Amino acid sequence: MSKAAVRYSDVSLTDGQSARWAGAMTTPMMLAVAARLAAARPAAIEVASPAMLQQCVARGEDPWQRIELLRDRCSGVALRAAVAMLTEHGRRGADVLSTDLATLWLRELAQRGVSEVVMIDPLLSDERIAPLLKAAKVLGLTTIAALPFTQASARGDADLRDQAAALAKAGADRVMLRDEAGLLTADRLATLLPALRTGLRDTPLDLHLRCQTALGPLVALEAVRIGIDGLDTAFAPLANGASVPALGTLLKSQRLLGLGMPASEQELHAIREADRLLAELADRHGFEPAHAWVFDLAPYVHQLPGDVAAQFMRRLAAAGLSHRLHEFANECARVRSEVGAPPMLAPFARPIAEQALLHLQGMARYAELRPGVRRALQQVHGAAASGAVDARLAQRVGALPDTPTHAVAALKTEFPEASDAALLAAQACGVSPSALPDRAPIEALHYEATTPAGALLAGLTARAARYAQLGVQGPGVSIQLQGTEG
Amino acid sequence: MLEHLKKLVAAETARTGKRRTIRLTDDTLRDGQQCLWATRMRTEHMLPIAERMDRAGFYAIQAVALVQFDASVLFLNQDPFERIRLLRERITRTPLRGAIRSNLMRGFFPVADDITELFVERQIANGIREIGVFDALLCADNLAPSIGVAHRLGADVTYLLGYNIAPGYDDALYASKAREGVERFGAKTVTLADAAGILTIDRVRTIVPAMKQAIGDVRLEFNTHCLTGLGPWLAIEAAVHGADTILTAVDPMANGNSLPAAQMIARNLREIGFDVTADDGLLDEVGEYFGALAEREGQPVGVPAEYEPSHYITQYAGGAMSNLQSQLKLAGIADKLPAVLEEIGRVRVELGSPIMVTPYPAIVSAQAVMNVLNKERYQVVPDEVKKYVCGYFGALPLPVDPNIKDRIIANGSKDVALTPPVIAPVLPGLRQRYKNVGDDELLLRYMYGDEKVDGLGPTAPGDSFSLDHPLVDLVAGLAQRRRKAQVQVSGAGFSLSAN
Repeated sequence: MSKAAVRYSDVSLTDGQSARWAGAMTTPMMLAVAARLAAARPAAIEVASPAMLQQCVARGEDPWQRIELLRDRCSGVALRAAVAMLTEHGRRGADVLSTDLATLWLRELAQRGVSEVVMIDPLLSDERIAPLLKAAKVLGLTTIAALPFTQASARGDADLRDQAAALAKAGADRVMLRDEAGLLTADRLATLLPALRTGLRDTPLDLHLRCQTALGPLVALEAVRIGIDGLDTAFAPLANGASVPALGTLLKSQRLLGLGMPASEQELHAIREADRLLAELADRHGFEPAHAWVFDLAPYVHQLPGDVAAQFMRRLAAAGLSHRLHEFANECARVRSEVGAPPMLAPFARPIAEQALLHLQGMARYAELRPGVRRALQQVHGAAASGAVDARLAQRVGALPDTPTHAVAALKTEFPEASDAALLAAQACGVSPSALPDRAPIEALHYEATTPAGALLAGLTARAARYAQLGVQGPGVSIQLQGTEG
Repeated sequence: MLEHLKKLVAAETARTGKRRTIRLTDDTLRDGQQCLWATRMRTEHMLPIAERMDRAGFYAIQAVALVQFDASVLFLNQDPFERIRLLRERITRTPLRGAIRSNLMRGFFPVADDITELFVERQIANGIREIGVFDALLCADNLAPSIGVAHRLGADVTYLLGYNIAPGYDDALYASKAREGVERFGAKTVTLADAAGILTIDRVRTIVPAMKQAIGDVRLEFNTHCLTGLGPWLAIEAAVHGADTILTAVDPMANGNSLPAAQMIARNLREIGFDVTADDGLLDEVGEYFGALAEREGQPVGVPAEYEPSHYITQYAGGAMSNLQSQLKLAGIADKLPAVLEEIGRVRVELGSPIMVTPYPAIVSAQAVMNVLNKERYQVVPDEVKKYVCGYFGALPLPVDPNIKDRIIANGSKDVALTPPVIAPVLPGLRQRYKNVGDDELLLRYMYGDEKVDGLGPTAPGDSFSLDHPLVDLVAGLAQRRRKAQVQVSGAGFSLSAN
């Protein structure tokens, strides 16, 4: 296995910052670091995902403009986007994106210079995936079909092998095993990877692996040793924990273990520089500093994916419930089983965790239903293959009349003024096209590095009227302010 | 993973007819602060929380070892025996554990049995109820005198076996050494001590059952460190595979270079079907105290480590490495470091792969440097190396390569006798020199010299140590003054004035 054969794709700007910094990275911040990320020469940089669309819309940033500007700054590196066929927002008619709408999404991405797409359908519906793979081919995109890793299934490796084979047969250029809860172990990998290879034949196999159990870097190295074609990584400040393994550490470890072609000092230097820039950014803005999570058995039970795991660990801590982690994990597993055991991915994982937390906090079980749980019970995204819905809960929520998914033509009639890009983002995020942020003037996207001392000074100046006289002294800083009023 | 572990535990419960109870031994006050704070935790820091630690359900609490004696006297100007006494006043239910490092006291060379025996005696007299005994060569004879004293004085013995990655250090070796500790010495606990955190999960699954089988009903204790981030996993699987006690530190003094966290281990072991004797609420209170203390003292807490395989490969402790670098630099041969490191690996195996803890890194590297600098390997032999192969440090766990041994004996100094001389007792001389001095002080004067011992200060009485920020204490102190026309305080990095 040579190193050249392993493609390292960077997900710092999407999954990394969603999981580690709760999605707090703005477009100006990304533009400020993008060139340094690209200089480390990952095989691809992921610039867009469903979560990224939501983060942009919530913050008043135009996601499409971000992609265009990142394209300019990442020259020489392929751009990747993740596209999900199921949405989380719950607007009727948009729970599942129609093929033509999803195709529109791909076209908008392709027009802006994205060349690889990861297609995620947690329910692995061939009817949804196959036509979209064809559409992506026509647009010249490299297609990577996501294969969600689930640990509990009757046939285990054989099921996953068959699912991988089906994705390859449907026309995927690559298949990506996605272990978003970080549950894989070296033992499991030893049987699973060869099985997947059998199913895939010549189709390359990638691995996307989170680090909630702290075993991620170990499992990633094992994957490289056994033979994997691509790995998702992030730069150190945005790696580990609920994110993916860190690229720099992985390459150093491989060099030490004699796995593949050793990374050059130059490569490692470029990675260190990107790591440093992101660490400075984190420090400046008070984002969580990089560190791994402690190994724990709870993730094997709650199975919460990346940013959902991060969010709920924070919520448990804030509510003083960290010591009841295993209780929470068991309740997640129980709720999941009662709603038909869907894969623990969007759109299912977050509402299941919300429902479990309500139960943990003392609400009578299912006294109230989270909207996402209700939708899962109603199977608005299609039936989950793996389990049966609890009959009493199903009866309680009742069935929904079939709602056709919104087709592009109908949407265009309804919103004649909206651009394709706006229509699509609106459907993906569950908002009106008119609610989408406008493009920002380019000068507004310039990143201003504000030091803590600068921020302090600005804050004090703004409040100067409240002080007669104020002196602040510290190592390397001395501020004297004279207020205008006594 | 979790399901598999649950099944293993359930199968054991079905086989034996009862849930096994796992105990935790606390190592916050000894190893936790050693790993994270360079052993700078003061006695008064420990006292306000000691009583709650006593009630938290630990099997034992490790109070001191050699490093804590050193740091206490040399850096904190505190009497370590006083620490034992003050802890013992507050920790009355849980046995306090002390330790000895073979027959080396705090030096590089074996010392007379009488002083080691007095050291054990005084630890016990001041309140220690268990003595952890450790010899880096796994040489039982070196430990026999100390164990004799412990038993005479009614203390239990914890028999530590250091984990080592080297040819010959297989499960059978550890099983036989564990059996020796039990059969020859009646050890109450045998501890597998993985100081460098280099155990792997595969090895845990074989070495723990092998040792447990060898010692039967005697308590098997498991220790590892979290440098690779895998420590908690290793500890959980060790319990599943037969360990009865896990050495832990209270979070946030856990993880990073330190041990697995008590709170996390307790919860996870319960989740897979064990009973764990630990009061979670109290553990969290203890953790909160140490978190606040760390902040107050400007000391770090444990930050979980990212997995990196480099830890398994170096096995050359950080401190020893920086010593070696500076020695080579002083000798003007800093460029030889890579060759010396490679030679260290070779020499270590030829000398029977001693565990790389004091004094063995120094002995192995001294020979490695000579081998690199001279035309022929072992042409020049440092005295310590000849002494080592002749058994001055004790019987070797594995035989030294016979050809190498011949060369060492032939080329080593003729002044080093082939048979180690009997070491003369030192206590008569010490008692002659220090008349009217108690045994605790006598020991400290022997170990650290008069100047250091004269400089020791008493720990403030009671549990008056405050966790508040020094500025809060300062302002509170100022507020207590009856008259203050004008107060000005300035120091490095701050100034305060009040009218």
